Amino acid sequence: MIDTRPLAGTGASSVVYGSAVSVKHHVVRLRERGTVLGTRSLGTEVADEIRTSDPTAGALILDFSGVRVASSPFLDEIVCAVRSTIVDHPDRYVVSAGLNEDVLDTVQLVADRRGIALAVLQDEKLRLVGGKRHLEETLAAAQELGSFTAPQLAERLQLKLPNLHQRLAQIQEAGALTRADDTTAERGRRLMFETPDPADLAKSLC
Amino acid sequence: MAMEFMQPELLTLSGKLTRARALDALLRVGLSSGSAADLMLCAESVTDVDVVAGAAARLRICRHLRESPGGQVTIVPPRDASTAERLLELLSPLPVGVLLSDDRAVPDQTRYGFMPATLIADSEQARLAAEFALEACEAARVSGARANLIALALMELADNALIHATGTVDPPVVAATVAGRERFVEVAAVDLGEGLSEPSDCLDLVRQIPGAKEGAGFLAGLIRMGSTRELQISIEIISGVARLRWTPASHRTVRGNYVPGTTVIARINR
Repeated sequence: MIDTRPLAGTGASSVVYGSAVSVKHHVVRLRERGTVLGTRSLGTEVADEIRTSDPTAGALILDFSGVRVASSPFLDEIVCAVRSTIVDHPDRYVVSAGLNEDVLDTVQLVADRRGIALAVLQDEKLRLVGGKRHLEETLAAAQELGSFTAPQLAERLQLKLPNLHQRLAQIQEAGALTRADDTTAERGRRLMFETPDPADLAKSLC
Repeated sequence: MAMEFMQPELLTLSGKLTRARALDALLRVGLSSGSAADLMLCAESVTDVDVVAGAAARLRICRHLRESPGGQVTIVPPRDASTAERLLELLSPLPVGVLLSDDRAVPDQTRYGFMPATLIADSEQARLAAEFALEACEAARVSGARANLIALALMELADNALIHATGTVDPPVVAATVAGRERFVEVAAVDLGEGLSEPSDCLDLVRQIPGAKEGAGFLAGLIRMGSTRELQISIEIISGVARLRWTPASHRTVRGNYVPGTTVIARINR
């Protein structure tokens, strides 16, 4: 079942997708703003749409499919809005997808300048843009596990737990990871971490 | 009562009208007296023009028409046919109040130009200019990757000029055209801002622009993008007495004759 409905109070380009087996996605389709995206004021409009996006959606996807060029002032607004919405709703994935090489490079430039890492769906894999190399490696290992506890990933990466927790916090700040209490834990409090299924995210793209 | 006849301001241009020479000839401070209602740009003896010449001519025309409302600009095109075609393509369509000295038509199809010299008043116009350039690149069968970079460079250079060109009322001008026996596309933004060109330490200010490896700005990013795509991209900045030539491997600033404003040129191979 696919449920598509425009969200109240957001632009026409926002659509929520959900199905019985996948998480509900809120998709912001940048292509509907044009193939050449420039100006800080347009960036502010899209940033508002990002900030007011459905907080109950499991994933917020910024779909750049069909966008040929995006300027750095425009993307700067988007990158900042992505960071703030992740802070506001840390239990939701925020992923940019459908970026061509040129838009991806400009996003990288802006993210580096801001010192912000972002989750990007590329070639059916999640990667980080603007993040350090060791975070990419951690995310890749996390994706192989899908759902995991910190000790499981620490063992896989041969890392000490405090070190791993630092990395996981940064990946979560990039929008590529969520965490929740593990209800199956028999003693004390245990966290379960989860990365999104790239194939599931890709279904929502144009 | 007899009508008072006022001599037009005559600006005679000659030889190679490119880069700093074009900026000096067309935009030098004090050239425009503001008293003559009409301006005659006499380019008969010009033997070569580049993207900077087109943009600088457009800016000069804009400045004259602002200073002399209701005035007129007459262009005497270069004698050399291909130079004339290049210049007129860059100035096409001619703004209201601008005429050619002969009855030739302005070229309606472009051979060299991707983006005629265009005044950019705000970021939205910069974006529209990028859209226009993308379409022109497609029509000229420029590859998608290069076309995107050309459009991106145009939009970013224009935006950059809008932000940094302080102390001037004239908007920046952008243009894009082929160069170097049509092996390159050159994108230029020319402005009359004083923030970079006028300080006594202009040379140092330009020299301090970070290079391609460590630079976080768009220009450094553009050079890096070129490197990863195996495209040759270089940047030139001409501002005041400073001349910066910037490639992936070098970042060299030298002193030259003073020119007003700041001009940034991105050169991308086709």
